[in-house]
Amino acid sequence: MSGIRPVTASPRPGGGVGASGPLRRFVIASQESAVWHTRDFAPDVLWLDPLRTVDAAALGPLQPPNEGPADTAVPRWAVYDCAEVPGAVIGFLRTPVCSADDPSLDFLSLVLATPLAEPGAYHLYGLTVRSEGPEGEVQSLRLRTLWSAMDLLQADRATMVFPWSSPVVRGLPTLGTVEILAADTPLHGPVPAPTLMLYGAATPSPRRLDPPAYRFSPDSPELSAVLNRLRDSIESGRRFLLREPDAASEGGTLAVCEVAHDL
Amino acid sequence: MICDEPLDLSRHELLQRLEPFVVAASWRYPRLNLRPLGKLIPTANRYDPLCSASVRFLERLVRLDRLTFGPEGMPMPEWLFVDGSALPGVISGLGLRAREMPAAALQHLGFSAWPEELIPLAMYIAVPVRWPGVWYGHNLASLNRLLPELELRGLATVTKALGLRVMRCVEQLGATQWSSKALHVHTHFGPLELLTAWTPAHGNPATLTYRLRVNDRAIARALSGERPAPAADERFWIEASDTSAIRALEARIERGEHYAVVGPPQQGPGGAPRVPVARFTPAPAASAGAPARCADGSPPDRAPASAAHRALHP
Repeated sequence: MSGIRPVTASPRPGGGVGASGPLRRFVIASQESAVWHTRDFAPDVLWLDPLRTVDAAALGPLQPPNEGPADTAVPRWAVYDCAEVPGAVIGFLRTPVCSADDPSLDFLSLVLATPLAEPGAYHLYGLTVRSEGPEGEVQSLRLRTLWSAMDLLQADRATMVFPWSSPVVRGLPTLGTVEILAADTPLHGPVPAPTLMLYGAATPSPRRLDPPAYRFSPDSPELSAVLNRLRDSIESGRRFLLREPDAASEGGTLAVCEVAHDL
Repeated sequence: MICDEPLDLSRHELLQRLEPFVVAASWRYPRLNLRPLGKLIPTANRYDPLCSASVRFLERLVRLDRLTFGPEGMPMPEWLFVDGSALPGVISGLGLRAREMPAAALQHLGFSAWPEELIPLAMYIAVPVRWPGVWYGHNLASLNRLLPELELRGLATVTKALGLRVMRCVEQLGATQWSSKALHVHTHFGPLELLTAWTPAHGNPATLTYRLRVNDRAIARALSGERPAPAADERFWIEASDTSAIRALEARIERGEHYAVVGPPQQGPGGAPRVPVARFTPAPAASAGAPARCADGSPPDRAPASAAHRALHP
């Protein structure tokens, strides 16, 4: 853990991903995980191994909320079993600390990553941002955290599930091509939430057809009917991409385009 | 086409009585062994967690988890069942058709079901660690103890064996408490090389993290009910409640010494459970999982290609 210096995170795709200034990234990952072996490529990152007691003792403040409603709290065992050992927990520290012994170790944002069975692919979830700043800044941190995870994991694809009403869904297409794998993820909760796949910048991704096949607002009373149609289309084998909202979109309208058949 | 399974244990009594099932994203099926232990997983028993038709069965798996782990205070919220299990990983298990179960048993489980519905009685959940062949098993649920009238002795061991084969697992990591009865099952498959003995990062620090090298012989032996021969020479005992001994063992592990749990827990002289541990020489890293072997060289069996499948295999 020596030689750790504060860094200024570089701009990310999509531009304007705020929270500029010195932010230190951290990774909690075991030596068993694939990501551990990429640490030489990220010497500016604080790496913590949950299998070692000295590091584990520092993890307390770096935990996602594990108390509270069951729809938000992540049980401690699950963080360990599903992310820290097989995958990683990745995020930004609140202050540019210099070592794991720093008493101010505290996270500003984090996301859990579990490998998929396909090389280079991960599932990201439990995105948490601790900021009382304006929504624009919080949104920037969310996206920056996801992108940072993709970067550190060297992921070429990542799946994730967020409610349609989440700002993350609107912002995700600024990071790359986003495919909708499920219109409403079964069992995920009472709020409709798609399963999305974000393609890494260097990964060939499908081409979209314009104009959009669907336009809808997550607040619309017709949402359920639209999602049922989208679900049926996806389950019949058609593919859809989430389009980046254009500046003229009103009321949080989302646009979904079908994938061109040339791939 | 269905791939060959070199290890045919399909005549095992539980594998003859029960039906196997698997839950995995549709694009993952080509990587799975769909004839684990020589027992074909029928197409109807292959569920895609992103498909709306799977909801009812997924709900039953959540119920199975709660019946098993709810009393221990470690049940999985539904969203976590998706995010931490079904979507990234593989769930496999064994069940019975509702018509084959006593009505009282269904009532006990809180299931109302049509006669032809598959009722899951046990499942094993694992997520990948490294590609290919290294998995982290984080849930082994069995209703054996809740349903003694079904005489499912050994169900957890068979379920774990099945899961390891479905995933083509060559190396399995896992974590369990020193006091857990699950050690009886895990040690059936061989020595559990200790990665941690004392685990502050887990919710319960008195948790051990282990590595299990998986091979055909160990699986066959586990299903036969035999146990690996104990390494009696250097064996010593760790009492499940002796945190000082557990922490001392952790310190030795972190100094680079290698230890393994080499047998099931036993009752110590004072009646408290204790676990046999021995010095351990790690084997070279297991080779990657062999690719599926198909009798006629055709691609492995797969679920119908979905949009998600094509996304991962453009």
